[in-house]
Amino acid sequence: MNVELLRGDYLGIVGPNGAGKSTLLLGMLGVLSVQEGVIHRQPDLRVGYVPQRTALDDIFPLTARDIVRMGHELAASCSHAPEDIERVLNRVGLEKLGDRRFAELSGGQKQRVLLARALVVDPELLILDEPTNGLDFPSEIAIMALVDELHRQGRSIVLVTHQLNLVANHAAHLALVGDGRVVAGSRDDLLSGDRLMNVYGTGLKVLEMEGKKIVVPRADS
Amino acid sequence: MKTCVLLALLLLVPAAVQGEEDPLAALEQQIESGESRGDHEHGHPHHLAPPGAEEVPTFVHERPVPHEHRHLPAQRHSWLEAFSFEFMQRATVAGLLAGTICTWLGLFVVLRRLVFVAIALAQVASAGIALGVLLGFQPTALGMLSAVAASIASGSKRLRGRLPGEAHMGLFYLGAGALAILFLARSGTGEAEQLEMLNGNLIVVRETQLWTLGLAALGIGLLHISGFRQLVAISFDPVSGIVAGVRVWAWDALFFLALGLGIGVSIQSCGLLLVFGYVVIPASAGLLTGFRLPGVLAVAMGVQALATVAGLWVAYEGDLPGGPCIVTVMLICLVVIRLAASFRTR
Repeated sequence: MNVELLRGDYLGIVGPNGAGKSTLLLGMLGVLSVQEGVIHRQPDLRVGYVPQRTALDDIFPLTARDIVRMGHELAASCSHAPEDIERVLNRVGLEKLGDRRFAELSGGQKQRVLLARALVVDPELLILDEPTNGLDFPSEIAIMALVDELHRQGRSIVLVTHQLNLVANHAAHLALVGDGRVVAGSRDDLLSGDRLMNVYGTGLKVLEMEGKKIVVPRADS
Repeated sequence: MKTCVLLALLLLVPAAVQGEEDPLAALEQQIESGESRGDHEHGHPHHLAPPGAEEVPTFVHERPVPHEHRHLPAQRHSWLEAFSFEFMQRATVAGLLAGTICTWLGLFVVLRRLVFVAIALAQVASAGIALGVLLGFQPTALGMLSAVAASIASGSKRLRGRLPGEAHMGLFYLGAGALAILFLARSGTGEAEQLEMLNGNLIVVRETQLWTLGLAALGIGLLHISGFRQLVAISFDPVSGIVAGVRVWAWDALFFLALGLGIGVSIQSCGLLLVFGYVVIPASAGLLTGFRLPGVLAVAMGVQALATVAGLWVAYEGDLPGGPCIVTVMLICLVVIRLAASFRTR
């Protein structure tokens, strides 16, 4: 894999379950050390990370505002002036739910809280791990609209997901992870039946409908 | 909240270390003279034992306290009477200090789902103390060292191999439990020591133990001021902590070091049962309230403080061992909070 992520790029890391997407992500984040190769990162790059909400424990007695403040304080301890908490909550549409316990929020609202926490560092690069996993359709659309808006504002986005249709219409570049290999390139180059067959091991085809790309199983697969 | 904890520590530690070197000797001296100390409420000393009293029943098994005379109605002026004795004051201060240490650590133990780690560490600390008893060499220090070593080893994936974490801790617990019994069996006073270790023996806390507990509580107070929020953040989401540039491994190491030290320091004064009770029950009671984290911590501290004082009073009045009484009062508090929380949500 050889990927260069420039300012304002939108990269989708996609592949089947267990392909190694999260491992690749943790390597990019510096949580895991890579066994081969190197990851160069611009010094002092402000990174916002949105984890899978299911990886976080509901037992913690924290409100939405507490969690956003957590990002604020971590940012403050890392000598970077953080964004205003209320402004960020307002931005993700949670201004009225700041005092609600995290455990009592819906999946979509939890995802917004985590997005707000990431935004509090005013990130140049925003990394999202399965942000729409388990969400209903309206929540998925709302979250992706927020991410698209952040991208339009000039932020680089890395979106990790197993949902092909999610990246097919949002990310300009793709990294297909599967079978121990990573293939990276532009979305238009990689979204082809043959490429996807190699990664997913099943027949897929890409349709276009009203300007949107849709990946569906081939009838003969 | 932080200020209150520190003020309490600063007030409690000097109060704790006043008095004789040997609490048991002091206790016997008080009983022989038939006087209690510090009965400011009535302006004169109580007479615990009338002249000529020969039989001296026990407060906690082997501790000589004139129990039947405490129950003479004419001598029971108030519940504060129990705390006019120096041994009760020492026990209360030791309980409050150990309770503060273990409750603070317990909040993270419960939130991070490390309850089994905590009981295993407490058992390892007991084994270290038992080794000290056997060798006649620094039981408290050996208890602390054992708990710290086990705390570090508990996080070692290399040591764990393919075993799940619970099984890994189970092995620690079993090994330490067996060793503690074997060490004590060879020490000559095995049965009594073992019972003491399980029940705790707050009433014979020594001055050095109080100092050690005080210093440990001060350390926890400093950790609270300097790192409570960071510890919460990395406990909730360690990956985001790393991404933000926080040295998560260092905070984790500091927490496990504090856990090993806190449990190791507390175990000889309080015993296995009470230390485990202080770690698990107050934090659980706090979480049942549904409050935010500062409220949870405040309730947990309140529960341990109330249970320490009330439990020791019950032990004094009922001629019962202190540790189990405190644990029982903590559990009663937890049940009351649970009921109140369920009424509130209806």
